[in-house]
Amino acid sequence: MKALVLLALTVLIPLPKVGGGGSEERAHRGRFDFSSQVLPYLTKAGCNQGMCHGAAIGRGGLKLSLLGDDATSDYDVLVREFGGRRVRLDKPGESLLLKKATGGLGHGGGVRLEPGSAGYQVVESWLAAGAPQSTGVGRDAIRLLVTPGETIRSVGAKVPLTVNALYTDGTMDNVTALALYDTLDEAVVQVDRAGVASIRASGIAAVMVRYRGQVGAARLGAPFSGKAPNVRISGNSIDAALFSELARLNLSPAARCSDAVFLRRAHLDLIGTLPTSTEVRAFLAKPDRDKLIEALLARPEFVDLWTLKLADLLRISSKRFGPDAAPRYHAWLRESVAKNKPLDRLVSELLTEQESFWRTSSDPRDLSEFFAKTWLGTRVECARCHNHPYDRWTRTDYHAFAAAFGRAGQVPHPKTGKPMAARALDTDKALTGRVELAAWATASPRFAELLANRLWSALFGRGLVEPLDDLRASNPAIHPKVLAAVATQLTRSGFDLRATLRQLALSEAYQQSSGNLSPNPRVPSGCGRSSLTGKGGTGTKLPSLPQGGTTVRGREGLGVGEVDEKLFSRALLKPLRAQVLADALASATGGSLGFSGRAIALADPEVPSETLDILGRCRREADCTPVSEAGGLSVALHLLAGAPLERLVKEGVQKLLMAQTTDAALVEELYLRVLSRFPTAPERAYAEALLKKNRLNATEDLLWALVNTREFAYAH
Amino acid sequence: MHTKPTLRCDGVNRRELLTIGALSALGLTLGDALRASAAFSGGRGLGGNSCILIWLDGGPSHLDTFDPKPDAPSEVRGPFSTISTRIPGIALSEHLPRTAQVLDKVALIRSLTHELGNHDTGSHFLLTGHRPNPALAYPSLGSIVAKERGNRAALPPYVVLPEATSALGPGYLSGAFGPFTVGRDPAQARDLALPEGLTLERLGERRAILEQLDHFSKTVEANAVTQSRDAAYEQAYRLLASPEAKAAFDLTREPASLHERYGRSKLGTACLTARRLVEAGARFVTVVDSGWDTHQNIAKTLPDALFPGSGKLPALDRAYAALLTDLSERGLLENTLVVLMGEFGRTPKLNALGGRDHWPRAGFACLAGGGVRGGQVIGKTDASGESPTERPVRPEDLSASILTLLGIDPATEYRHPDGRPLRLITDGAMLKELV
Repeated sequence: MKALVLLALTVLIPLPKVGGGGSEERAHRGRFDFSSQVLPYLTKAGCNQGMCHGAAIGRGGLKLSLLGDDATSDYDVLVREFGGRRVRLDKPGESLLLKKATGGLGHGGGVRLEPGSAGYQVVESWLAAGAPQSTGVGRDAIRLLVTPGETIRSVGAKVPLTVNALYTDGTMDNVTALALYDTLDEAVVQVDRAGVASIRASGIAAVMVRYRGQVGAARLGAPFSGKAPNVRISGNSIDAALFSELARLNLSPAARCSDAVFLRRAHLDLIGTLPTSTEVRAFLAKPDRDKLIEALLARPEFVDLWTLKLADLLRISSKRFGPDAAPRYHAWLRESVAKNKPLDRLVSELLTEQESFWRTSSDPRDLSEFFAKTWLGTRVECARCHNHPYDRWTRTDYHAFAAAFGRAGQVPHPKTGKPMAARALDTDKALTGRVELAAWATASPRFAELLANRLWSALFGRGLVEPLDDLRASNPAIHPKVLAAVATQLTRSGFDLRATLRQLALSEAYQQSSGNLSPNPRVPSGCGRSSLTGKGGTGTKLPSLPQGGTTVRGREGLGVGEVDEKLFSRALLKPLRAQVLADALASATGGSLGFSGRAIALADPEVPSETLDILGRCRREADCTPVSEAGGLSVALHLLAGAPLERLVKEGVQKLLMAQTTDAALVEELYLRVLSRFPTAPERAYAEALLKKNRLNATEDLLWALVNTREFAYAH
Repeated sequence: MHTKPTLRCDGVNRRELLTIGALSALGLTLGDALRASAAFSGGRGLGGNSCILIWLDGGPSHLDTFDPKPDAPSEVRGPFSTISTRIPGIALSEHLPRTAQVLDKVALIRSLTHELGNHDTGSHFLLTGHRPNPALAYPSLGSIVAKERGNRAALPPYVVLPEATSALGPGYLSGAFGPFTVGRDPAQARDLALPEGLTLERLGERRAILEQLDHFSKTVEANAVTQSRDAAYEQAYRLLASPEAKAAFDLTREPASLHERYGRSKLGTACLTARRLVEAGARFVTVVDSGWDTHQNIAKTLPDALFPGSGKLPALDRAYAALLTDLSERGLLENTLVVLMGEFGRTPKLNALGGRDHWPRAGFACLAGGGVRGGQVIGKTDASGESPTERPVRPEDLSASILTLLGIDPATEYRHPDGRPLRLITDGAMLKELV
């Protein structure tokens, strides 16, 4: 580490000798630059972090800019404020700045610079040189190069990172010693102040690297133990990307899920609707997955579900837009989905034709944040008040972008007060109007990546990047190549929603099982993962007693107890959103929940429905956060003892009993319509035995129990 | 759990928190910390075991209630006169006579101040202690208490009467810490009374069947993902099966005369239910009283101008005074913190419609019980109630105080589901004069 510091030092600053007054020393002095050569040491020492002097109100009477984003102000504060009492140019070591930084004079932040350390020496030399501000040698970093950018080692390995900063003038410096490092997943990778990462566990995780307003990341990991994985061959580019990534980590994809599971999963994910018992029978008799997906993409419920998702994003409600504009806005959206309007065109029209979008908020800053987050996966809001600590956006970037969402001159620069000219993020491109804004935004690579991430998450239950709308160089995707593959597919298809969903839904990746044994003996291929327990994956030996208490089974690459929750080597359980759950309850019981039509087709979240509110429908007042959990106590009570559900059950059973004559047929029908599969032999036997006692009551009890099972609560 | 650095705008991450220490970050001295830790260790030190929060939704006028300006010009003074209270020299609006008589139990904050003048943002600030952040939903104080203190008896720890808004939700915490809401009628909890044809016995039979079916189905087994749902089902069964817990929601068990004292208004009914719930073991009960967004004609809407029970102030006066008195008579006030507040105050000058508009720069909050020293006024506004002139109190300070009074350290760190560490309250400090 010492060598690294010294290396960085020699590159950055030729240390001036104290004393003497020759021309050589003046030359050294002339090469001091506060912003690029001194301030980074204070940043590295943590002086200007948010908890300390970088806080909005400073700390202990000293206020520095956050992470040194305003060097001019910092220079004034340190050298000039209070008559320059913080520095002593004649005796640098006596300066308040150094005395406090070394932990003296009751410094609340303790020791930040050890006397004699590189940082100390630089500050001392700079003071001795007269604390010059800048003499024209300052350079701005424009990019960070982190090596290795990506590596798979073994658990326990130490990986020293090297960080080079590329400057505006084309030069490059090794800034390893001055960069800031943070792990994004402490369980997998840790990193120390010097940039040496240690791999602690199997998996892969990123280390975020920051230096002078620029950010980067390194992805580090270690393979899982166990034998070499099977790589499944598939012509699908998404599979190729995912399975090669998993293979590097020694992970085998989970077994292919059963037809019944696929049918239910694809229905819930693509059209938000359960298959009817007739549909289940038909599909299981002749399971053609390609044909199924084709049929689902053409269903009206597909339009309902994807309009619902987009309307959530756009926050369309009569409360926000009024009783006339909201339906118009919604109708445009619905028609766009129905016609399969390319998504880039949809967003272009949003900006250029939909006045309602511009009324989502009256403040151009809020609107720009809303747009950037929703459609570019870029969270610019931090840069409203100070340069973004985790991304490269400056305050100027922020306000110039916000200006594109207001009237001319409406957004002033917060510091100078001058009206900002509208400018795109990332480039110097001027945005002269809404058409230009739309053209730039939809052509941005981030637009395609954000959509790719959203579509992936809709089918796989979790984003490749999390949070879904936080795409940054310092927050890379868990599998960047997979994200790139989906984004490429999306772009190549001409931003075709259905075509992209088709490719995702037919990928082997999507067809993995969720990792539990299938209970369905009719489907010998099973939905179980190829199990190491030797019990077989078909579920033919269904136990009626718990198996030794373990619910996690081992698999190639994963030891018992290790469950992959984010690498996508299996399917994840997805809780149902309120409207889908409500429709599923209605369709499983055969009743109605009181509003006309299906819940996923409701245009306005203000349509009264106590059940939908209890189930957690998003009212679109703010961000509709992805549904990450099945409901809480109110939901449980409503489903266990709520009058509406009890009514649904009673109504449903009346009809069922009229239609089904034998107990066997009744049980089969119940399982088909509620869980989209045939009952197993033990399930059949158990249920039929129940029916022997009191057929009406037992049918009600069974239906009630089935819609309250764990299996019903998730898309699995 | 894995860790990501926090993604707050100020760039604070966990490592920084560790190196700097929680003390300086919160602006606390060591003495404060020692005193506080005594409170945190037992959970009873500072008194409050439970909390009733009366939320005046819409933004109650400070000038027409708890911070009147009798000497100001009429357009500021408004239509009401003032009365003296149990705190010498402190006056309240003439429409709060009962409250005036219990003010010796109350610490009245007259200098609550912030800058978020929209209902949504202001409510979020006051109810969570954080400004709204589009990237992160913060948990409400009730959800924090539910997580920290857990269940007592079969009652859910956090209840909202009658219905919750998003600012009263669990935020980034698990849905298991969300509020239990009773539905529209505060006198009768929804889904607690079993529907016709369903008895407790039959529910028990159904539960056995459900467990058997869950057991057969290996497609989705109990695991970390299903945990919060499984826990909610457990809690639901406990609640449905506990006559005591269900009785806590049943107001018919209260003498009619006591209900009269609280008032038959929605607020009075909810406050009485809140007392029953706290008595039975709930940790945090929020009573939401809507209708305080008085942009028009306060002379008619605030007092009982149309008919008895038509106005906001008499209903509040009855319910609030009755609650404090009732809790005190039962010896519960010592262990029950009662907070009264809304999202902001209202404009000093009456508008053209005889109402007042949003005014976050000045507002009030009342704290009583739970170890709070009553009979005091904290902070002061200027002659027209426009801005605080003494002891400005921020929403963060108020949240930090409420949590501290409930025995929860506001410097506690939680993890975002993504693994980022998040401090319960940032930049807020306990109001020491409260205790």
